[in-house]
Amino acid sequence: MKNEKNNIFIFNFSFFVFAHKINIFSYKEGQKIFVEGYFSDGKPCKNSEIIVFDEKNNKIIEGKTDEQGFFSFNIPETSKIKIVLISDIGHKVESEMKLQEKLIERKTIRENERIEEKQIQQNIDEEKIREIIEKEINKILKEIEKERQRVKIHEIISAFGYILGIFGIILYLRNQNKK
Amino acid sequence: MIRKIYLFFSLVLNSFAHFGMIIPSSDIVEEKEKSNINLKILFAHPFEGKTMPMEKPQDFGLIFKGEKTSLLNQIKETNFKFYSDEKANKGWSLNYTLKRPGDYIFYCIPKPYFEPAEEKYIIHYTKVIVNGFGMEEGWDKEVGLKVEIVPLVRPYGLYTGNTFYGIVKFNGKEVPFCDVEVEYYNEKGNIKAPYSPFITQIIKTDKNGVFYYSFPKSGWYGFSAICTDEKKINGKEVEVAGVLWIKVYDMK
Repeated sequence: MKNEKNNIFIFNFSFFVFAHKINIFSYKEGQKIFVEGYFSDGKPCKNSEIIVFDEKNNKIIEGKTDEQGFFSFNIPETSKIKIVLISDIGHKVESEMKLQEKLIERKTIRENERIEEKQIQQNIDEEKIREIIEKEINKILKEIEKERQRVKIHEIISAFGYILGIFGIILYLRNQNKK
Repeated sequence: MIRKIYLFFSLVLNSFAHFGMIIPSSDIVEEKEKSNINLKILFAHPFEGKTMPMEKPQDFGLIFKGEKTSLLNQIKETNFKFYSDEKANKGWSLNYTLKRPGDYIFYCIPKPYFEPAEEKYIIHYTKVIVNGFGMEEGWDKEVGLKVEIVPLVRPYGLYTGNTFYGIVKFNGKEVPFCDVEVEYYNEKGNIKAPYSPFITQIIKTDKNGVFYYSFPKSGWYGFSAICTDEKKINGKEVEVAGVLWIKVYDMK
């Protein structure tokens, strides 16, 4: 009797699996990966678990399909992913996707962006340096000019001093002669 | 006397049935790497291996998930030469990439073809169904063609010996006791008919407009449900037919 029951169970289970074959379809669009879970008759695999593994089989993303059987996520930084869909009644299906080309492409773009950024930064630095140098030079020039002007006044004052000194000596000598 | 001789030969020649054809490079696509398919669009005698020149259709398109898309501006003029042809004739072709899961119904509405031997115009509303990525949804939907065979059996994943049945509709209504011609696409010309009735097999629909056919061999089969249009063109009768192409596989 037990065996009969088991047989019936196995038969139903097999039939169930066959009639409710689940499928997974994934595709890249823009910067995202879209996953669609569906039964062979076209009905969506809704509220089903999605697990994404990277090339080293590490679990990187987890989630659930929506009412239409859809799930999406940003393209991860790995060369290959495995997407596993587990329906609410425990059926499991998986698909693999290579991301190598996409990654290389993205890396190249990023590298280019970095180079551009560096160049911009370099340009900015040079300009700033120039501005700073110009400002400093102007300051120095102004200082020099001031110094020059100070020197001139000193020279004039000292010249007056010299003249007054000479006059003083002359007046002294004249007074000596008068005596 | 000459007219009688001409008529006699016309009748002999007319033992070849005309078929609008849409033959995809694959009727089932499961791998993304093979999702780009090529479709041959032509007018021919498929068993006897003769093509007829075909003008650019009035419309060629696709029904996918209930949405109709015209692909008329994407089809390309292509010459076809079947095994009995002395020279190639003008037809059309399309490269198409399946992007999503589901059933793709490709249809063709050709321009009227004048057949001088029968002194009538022929318009074959032709369709074929390609399944994409395991989602078997859409194959039983009507395109809404003037004459159309609506499958009652999923028209792909069929083995040799399976029985196909479908319903013939003319302006959306079932057609009782309508002639349905069946021809095998004898691509390489290696199949020889023992007698002329084997070239084109004839079925009649029942009172509900349903016909049945069991496939004797693997390959492509064309079903052509023939009606006569209410309207004439230039005073000539117009044969309107709903054509459906199905591929059958051997069980190995």
